[in-house]
Amino acid sequence: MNGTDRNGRAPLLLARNIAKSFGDFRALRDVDVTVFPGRITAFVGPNGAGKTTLFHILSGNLRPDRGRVLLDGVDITRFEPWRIAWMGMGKLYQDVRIFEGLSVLDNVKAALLEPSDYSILSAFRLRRFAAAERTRNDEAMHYLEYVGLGEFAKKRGGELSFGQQKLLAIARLLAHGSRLLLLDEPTAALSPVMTENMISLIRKITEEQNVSVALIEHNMRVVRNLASYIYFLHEGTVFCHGTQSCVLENPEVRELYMGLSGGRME
Amino acid sequence: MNYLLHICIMLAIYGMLASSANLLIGYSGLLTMAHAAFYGLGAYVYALLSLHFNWPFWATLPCAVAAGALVGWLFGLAALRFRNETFVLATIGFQMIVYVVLYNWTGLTRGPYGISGIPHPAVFGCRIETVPQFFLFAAVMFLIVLGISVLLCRSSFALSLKALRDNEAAAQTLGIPPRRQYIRAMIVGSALAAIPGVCFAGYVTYIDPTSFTLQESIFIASILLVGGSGNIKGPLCGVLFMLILPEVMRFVGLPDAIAANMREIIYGLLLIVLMYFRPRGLAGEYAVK
Amino acid sequence: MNLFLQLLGNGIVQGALALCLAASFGFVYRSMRIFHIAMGGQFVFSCYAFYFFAVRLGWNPGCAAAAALVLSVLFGGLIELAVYRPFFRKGSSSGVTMIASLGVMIVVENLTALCFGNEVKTVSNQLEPSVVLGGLRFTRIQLIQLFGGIALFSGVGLLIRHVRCFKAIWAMGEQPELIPVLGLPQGLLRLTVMALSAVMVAVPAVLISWDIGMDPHVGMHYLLLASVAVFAGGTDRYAAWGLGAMALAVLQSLAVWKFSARWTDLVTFGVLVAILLLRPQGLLGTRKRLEEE
Repeated sequence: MNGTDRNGRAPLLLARNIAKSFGDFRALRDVDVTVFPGRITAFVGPNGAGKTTLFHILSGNLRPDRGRVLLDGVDITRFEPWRIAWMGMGKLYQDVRIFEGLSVLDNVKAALLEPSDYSILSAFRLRRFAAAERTRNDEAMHYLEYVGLGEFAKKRGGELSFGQQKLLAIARLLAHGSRLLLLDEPTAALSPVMTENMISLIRKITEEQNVSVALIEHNMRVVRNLASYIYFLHEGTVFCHGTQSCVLENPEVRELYMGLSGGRME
Repeated sequence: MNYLLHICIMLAIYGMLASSANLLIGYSGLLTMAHAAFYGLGAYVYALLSLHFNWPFWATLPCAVAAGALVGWLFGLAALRFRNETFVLATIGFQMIVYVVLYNWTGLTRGPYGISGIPHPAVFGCRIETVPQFFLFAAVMFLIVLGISVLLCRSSFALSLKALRDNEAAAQTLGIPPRRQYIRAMIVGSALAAIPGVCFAGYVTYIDPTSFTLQESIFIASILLVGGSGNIKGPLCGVLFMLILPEVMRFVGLPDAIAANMREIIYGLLLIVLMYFRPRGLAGEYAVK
Repeated sequence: MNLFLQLLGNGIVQGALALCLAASFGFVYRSMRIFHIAMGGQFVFSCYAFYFFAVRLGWNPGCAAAAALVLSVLFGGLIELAVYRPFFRKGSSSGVTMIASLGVMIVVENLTALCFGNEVKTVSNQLEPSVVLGGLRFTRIQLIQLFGGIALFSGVGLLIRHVRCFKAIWAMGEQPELIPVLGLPQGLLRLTVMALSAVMVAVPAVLISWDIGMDPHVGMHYLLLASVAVFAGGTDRYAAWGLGAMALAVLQSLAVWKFSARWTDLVTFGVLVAILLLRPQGLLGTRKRLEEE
């Protein structure tokens, strides 16, 4: 599936021939995925199929044994995760990982830092800092309000609920300017209300912010609601991929999923 | 009276040490056991340059700071691939190597005999010789270092460090480069640590390696663990506590021989108790991971 | 050449003791995930326990050693119950526990200094009879150190492979979370680790204090030797600890041949630095990438 999609857009993210083993265990074998911009691409499959491993490889946390990852045509296979973040890919971990000791506002402000802000000398450019801080404060509040966390700005990150932390993590990635979000099980362990919240937020992001989303999900309702393209992974390979009807109605997929996970293909 | 001023001078020196170590231990979450090595480096650079080359204070101070920065950078390049216990062990290793070099490179440092006759610093033409003069000098230097620390701690540089400290993986998703930032913190922390070294050498006019041992590094780290780190008041609180306590014990009349051991026992117990009940220390903001 | 061989021989003797010290540190580090700084304190405790029985009470060395061993094991258990266990129950991080461990070492060393004084003490005042082996001269105590150390290290190595209780200790290091899941008595296992570690530190302590004496602040030196040996060899394999310890001891001894004795500490840390730079997983360690869990 090289080349362009139906609308003639070039792929945003390409992974080709990805293979990864941990000792004797072959987590991924010869995986090809393409993520087109403006879409929500879902990765589904039973536990242990390699989905999270794939995301780790895409975001630079793991090196594949074989294969390449291209973001906007640039080979990012060997890049450090922070460099990939600057190229526009943001990842939400399954266990969220926000800065628990920092305030909610500071969590987002950290995302708004530019490389020039990382330097030691930046501490001494007081006037520039004051102006930049004001801007950062406003922008951070904007993103917090966008995800619905505006009133929690002063709270410590560790005081938020798990669902709220997920929203915060997404706000951070948006603030950083991510164009492609990799969300690892965004609705896992969320209450039904929060799940609805998350679904509408993800939809809102892709529609309003021109952000593409790739997500790993076990909740099929979420997948049906959001995904325009689905990859079904099984035992480290892409078993099939396509639109919702292609994948979810596929009898072999239904059998595999039903047989293996007790059937939650609502 | 001079004795009180002497205590204040030592408070100022340890205040500078604690503030510089705070950037590493409190803001970056890097528990360094090598801070005394940089303290010693500053002291020896000042001693050698002013004694053998007669360089004035305004030249030796930046040299000492630059030496601290350079060595800190080189050490950081090697050690900052590691985290947690491996990093701590690496800092212990570095500290021990510096001590062994100071002790044994007698050609340069005169080893265990130390360097004596170090000239007092001269600022704006007047030499700082009496204890009251030194108190003023130390206070000014302390305020300068404190001021630099405050600026650093409020900066976006510090925010990036705190983000890395809290969750390195998450910070990477926001584009913050871990190793680069940690090395920067190491450079600044080590450079600033040289300043109290200069003050100490210029004050006591005799230095030897026994002031810059692993034990000293552990003491500096303990100041931050007991008093707290990750903010401005924690280290200051720690310095006050850890330096006044021995004076109180002396005041109470404990014989010096016992006092040293008793003091250490109290420090040790404090560490255990605080780590259990209040890992962020008396006034700190960051709890060791 | 003779000097070289003699130094090599001395190094191997020191290495035999270093093996046990490394294992003492390694077990606690691996099985309990604690950077066991207090091991330095345990070393000092064992030395002075031996001194107390052998000199203050005048017992014969064998009984004094046995008594010191028993006390050391009890002391190890005390550290676990009074310090490590509460931190474990609290879910404290490894860094916090390490600092508490540092506190324990500081307290133990200085309490010892209060009780016995800060100066160097010796246990044995007589000149050790020496033996000539293959042209090299060793004292009797050195031979006891050599054979005792190797025997203890190898013996324990066999235990952790074949005896169920000790296999469990080794497995603890692999997957600590599984222990309660598998219904194994975690508290008891932890005490066993500490007891084993205590034995592995007490034996060298007794032999060293008999040989050269001790002072209350000598613990850090042996702690560093043990921890560097474990990290240099590779934290995950028992034999690796032995390799690291023996290599370190031999290098230290040989450093005297080329450089003077003053530089031996540089050797320890030079080795550490070299390992960290060139082979961070240790000589026999497996490469673990900075991976996500």
